[in-house]
Amino acid sequence: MAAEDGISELTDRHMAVIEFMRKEFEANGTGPSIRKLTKQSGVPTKELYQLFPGGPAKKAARIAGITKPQGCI
Amino acid sequence: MASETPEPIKRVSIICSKGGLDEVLPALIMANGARMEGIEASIFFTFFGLNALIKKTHDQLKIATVGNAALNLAMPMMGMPITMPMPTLLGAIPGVSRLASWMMKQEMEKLDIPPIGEFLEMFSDSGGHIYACKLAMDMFKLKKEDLVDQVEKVLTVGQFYEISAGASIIFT
Repeated sequence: MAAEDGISELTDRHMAVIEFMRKEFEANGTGPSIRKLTKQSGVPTKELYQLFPGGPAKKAARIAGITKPQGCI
Repeated sequence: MASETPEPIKRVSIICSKGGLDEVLPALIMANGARMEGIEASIFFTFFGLNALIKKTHDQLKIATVGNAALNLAMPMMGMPITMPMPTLLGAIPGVSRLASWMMKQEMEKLDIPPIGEFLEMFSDSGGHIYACKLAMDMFKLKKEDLVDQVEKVLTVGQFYEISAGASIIFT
């Protein structure tokens, strides 16, 4: 599935983002905001967009198997 | 006759021409939201919008409490009904604009909306482009050094249109 989104290989860094998103989803019923994601997962904004080209909110949530985050930030 | 599915938006160029806290935020939220969706995004700050880019002022942006006919919207923040108007004379009392801006910043924090400086950084780090208007800079006697580091270029209107090729242009 990741390959369809232009990600050739899921690295540890991808997994850090995905696991954080899953954890947030379980706790709050929705994925985190990008701000929260970058502040708490330890993956800075620049890297996040490099890891998930084509939109981190959408793509990371899709791979994490959760619904698209509800927030606008 | 079935209509074709519209093409998804690929690029947006947002023009931010006003510099109040409540006037800069929508531009930043729309632009950052575009990046989150994988849409290329840039913001062109012009006229009073430049206030958001000036190192000395960008974290002191305020809401206008004089002549703002929609301030009743902010009344629930103070526990008052949304139908209550905010008299403009009250808004003129020293400190009221500062108080209203402070209250809005509290609400922003709750919603995870970053302060302007951090927001510009976040947008720039996401691959978004920040431009400043040359004419407005000349008018306000500003130099590139007066602006935050995230400003990529100072552009003329013509250059802005060139850079915006194929983009939807949004004016705020």
